[in-house]
Amino acid sequence: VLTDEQVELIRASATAVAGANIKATDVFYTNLFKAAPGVRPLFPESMFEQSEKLWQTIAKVVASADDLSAIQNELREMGARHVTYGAEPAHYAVVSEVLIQTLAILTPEDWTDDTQAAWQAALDAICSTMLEGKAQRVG
Amino acid sequence: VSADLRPLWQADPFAQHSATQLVQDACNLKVLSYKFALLGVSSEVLGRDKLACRIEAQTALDAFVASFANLRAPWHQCDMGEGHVAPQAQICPPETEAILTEFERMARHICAAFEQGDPPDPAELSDLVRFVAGPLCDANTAILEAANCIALATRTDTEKIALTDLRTGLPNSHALKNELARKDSKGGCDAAVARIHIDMTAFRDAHRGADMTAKDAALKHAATAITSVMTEDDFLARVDRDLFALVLYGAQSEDALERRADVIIEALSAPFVFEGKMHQLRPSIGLSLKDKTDDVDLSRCMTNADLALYHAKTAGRAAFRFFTPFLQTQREQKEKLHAQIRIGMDTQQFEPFFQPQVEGRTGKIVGFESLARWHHPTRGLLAPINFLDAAQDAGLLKELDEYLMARTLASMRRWLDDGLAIPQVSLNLTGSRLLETNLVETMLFAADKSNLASSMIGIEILESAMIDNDSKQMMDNITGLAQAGFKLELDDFGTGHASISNLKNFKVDRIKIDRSFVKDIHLYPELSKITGAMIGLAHALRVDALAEGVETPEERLVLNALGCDHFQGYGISRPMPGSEIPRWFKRTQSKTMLIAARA
Repeated sequence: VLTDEQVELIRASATAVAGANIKATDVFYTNLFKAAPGVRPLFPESMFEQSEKLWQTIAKVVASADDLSAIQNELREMGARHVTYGAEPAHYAVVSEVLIQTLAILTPEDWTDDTQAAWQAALDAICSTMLEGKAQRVG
Repeated sequence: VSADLRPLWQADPFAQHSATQLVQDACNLKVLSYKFALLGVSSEVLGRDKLACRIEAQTALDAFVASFANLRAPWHQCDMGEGHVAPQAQICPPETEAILTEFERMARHICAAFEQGDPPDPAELSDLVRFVAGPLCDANTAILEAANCIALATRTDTEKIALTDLRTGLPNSHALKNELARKDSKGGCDAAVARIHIDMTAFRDAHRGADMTAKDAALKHAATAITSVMTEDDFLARVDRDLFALVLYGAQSEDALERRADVIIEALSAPFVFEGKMHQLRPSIGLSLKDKTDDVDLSRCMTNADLALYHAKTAGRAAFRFFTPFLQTQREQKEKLHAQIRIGMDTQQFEPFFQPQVEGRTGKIVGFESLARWHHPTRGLLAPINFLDAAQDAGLLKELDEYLMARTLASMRRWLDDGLAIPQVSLNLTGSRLLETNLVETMLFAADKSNLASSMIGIEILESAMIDNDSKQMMDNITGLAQAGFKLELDDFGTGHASISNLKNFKVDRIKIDRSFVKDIHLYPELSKITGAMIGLAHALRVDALAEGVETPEERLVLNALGCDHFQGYGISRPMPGSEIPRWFKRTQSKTMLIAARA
């Protein structure tokens, strides 16, 4: 559960990233493939479509940041789907780390420890919900 | 008739007609003179009706005089070149002419008597009959023989002309055909065949607008060059515009033939001077060897050499190539492909696929490129590289292009009607289509038919199509298309050596940076500098830059940083059938706005 301040911090940094000159999803995947080259084969050829999908998800999370339970089912289903994509639990930590790193790079002036903590909390919650979906699927 | 006559008759365009007429006139002289004599005798001896005899005799004499005049007519003595003997002098020498004139005088005298109603003088009649049966008969016989002889010579020369290439004096394609048929009918022989093509492009360019003399000069030079390195047994013919065929009789090894080809190429490549300018021809040779035990005949050998020549020409400067069975297989495959393309067009196996082009930063659609695809019945889905050249060879390119264009524009119309905001669809035009005379009208008609503004249609032109092409038609078409409102795009930008000059010469709306400047751009700083300079150049000219072949987020990141406007490539999407576009559009173009989410 995020505090109101954390929700605001997340929304402010997401808006800043959306307006940045550089496309956040390109930076994210570039960093991700550098940090974990092994995951590259898990992604499709058209990374354009994949990036759009990621951005839609980020937008949805930001919109529901004040009440993540509203998208709980959706996140669980997404977690279940990721099993078929070949995603493993260890990947979730890498993805979270790279996403935070990306956001920090794109909004260096607004980035604070509080912002980082807010995103970390949100991503932890999302990852654990998704992993629940994965567990259900596997179970 | 001496052999000297031949060139004269050969040069006369009326030669054949003249010769036939000549024989006719010679026959007339003989028959009419006999007829006249008989009429005279019959009126006197048989007491026939004087008036009837008079009329018939006069008619016979008139006809005789006409034929005699014909023999001396100018068209029997046409265009006498120096050293040629006039046919009239040969057919009707002065002594013969004197005999004929004497007969005419005697006959007129008898006719005059008839005219006055008097019977002809028996003594005069008797002299006439003796003259007709004696000297006149001999003279007429001599004339007829000469006429027949000339007719024969003319016929021979007409046949000879039919077998001669008048520009070079060499045997022509008919003569070659005869030669091959003659040798083939005699059974197998050892031989080799060389098909020699002379590329005279440079020479023609240097003498553009020049008369036949200039072109003949180059041909004659080629003919002389080949002849100078021929042996006595070889047979050379000029068989087409810039094409010669050489048959080398006797057993040949491949090495020996290679040496002969080298010698021919050397002779043909030797510089020569025409109108004060130094020129050099560029030959290509196709070779085919034939053993007397081979199944192939000489005609087939010639076809094989032709195939080898095709490969020699593509090999580049002054090359020769041997025929191999592989070439044969290749040719058969090509013919099969042509047939399949025809069937494919009849059965609608061709379909336009569409590849999205998106804005670099936002991912917003800016257009689709229409790309031809062939649903081949056994080979699966084929891209243009597998059939475009073959379609052009088979003369089907224009038809195929227009079919795909109509389907592309109809698809675009449907998407717009369905509410998809697609700004533009781009078509590819090959170099050959850019040379068509009514191209602008054709394009405007097609746009109008689908009710599309020309500004919604991009026309992609390969840089290579414009390089070294100073065709006025092409320039007019490109200018015309731009004026008509079509969006011009330079395809494969950077690969041609005229990239920048093309930007100067044409109003271009977008450059499409070739994939070689895009692939792995994030790994090579020097490459990104070059690509960045191209993008900067485009922007300086207020032209959009599109990166082709974009595949990875890393490439997109760098290209974005370089300010590249538009992306296209597998990393965005592979080309897809029109039916998939609405779904793709929905998946990628419906944006969730963060600001809206906040509210």
